[in-house]
Amino acid sequence: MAEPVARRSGPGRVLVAVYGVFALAAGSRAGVQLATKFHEAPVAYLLSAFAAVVYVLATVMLARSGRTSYRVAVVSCTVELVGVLAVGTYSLADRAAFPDATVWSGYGSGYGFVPLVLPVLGLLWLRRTAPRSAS
Amino acid sequence: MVHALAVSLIIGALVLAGLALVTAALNRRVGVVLLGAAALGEAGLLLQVMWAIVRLAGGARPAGGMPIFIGYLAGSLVILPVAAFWGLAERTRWGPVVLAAGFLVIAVLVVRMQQVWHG
Repeated sequence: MAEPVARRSGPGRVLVAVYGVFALAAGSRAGVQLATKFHEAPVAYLLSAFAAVVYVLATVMLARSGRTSYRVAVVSCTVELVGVLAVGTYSLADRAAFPDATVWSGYGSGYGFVPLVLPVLGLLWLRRTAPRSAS
Repeated sequence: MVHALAVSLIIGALVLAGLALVTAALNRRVGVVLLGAAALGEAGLLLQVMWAIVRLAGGARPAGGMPIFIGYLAGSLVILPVAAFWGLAERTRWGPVVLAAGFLVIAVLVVRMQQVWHG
């Protein structure tokens, strides 16, 4: 394996920046939805809030060094990938359940499909920067 | 929202994103030019916030809803300073890429703000 690369430098720095933007975007969106119209679609809005938490977690753990944060980062990116695929499919199958777009509905089509690409790039980057004895 | 200002902000942000990407392609770090570009962008966004405050004080309301509009307004001011700080800390070509991402986010934000304002 190549030299161990710091997780948050080089391309990792851009990754953390984009994750940060999505943490902010998903967080504020979920905040507004939960505060103003939670009763309209509780499941969709709770998923929205869950997505926000995952983005915040991924941002922080990608920016931190250390083995534990590495594992948490891998889990967050994986959950995110599963989430965008599941919610994306579900939102297309049952449009009524998602009256208001969440970050993950339509596979992130409202956000230029960045939510779909981001976890893949995140996992690839994490694989490259894996601590030697882990995984 | 004043249309000419929004259009200039969107075009300006796209041009500055291009400038940041060229800087990255030339293998340079974030320097005075890109920091100045970020400051310029932030000044334009402040102008937009002031305009919004004047319009809201005058009784105009965003068609897409007040909380969302205020959220975008506040968010638009946070992006560039944080991107500049984060990009400056990177001593490689990836620093300018962070700023390029920041400028692209600003372009998208201003478009979205227009949509929220006009409904």
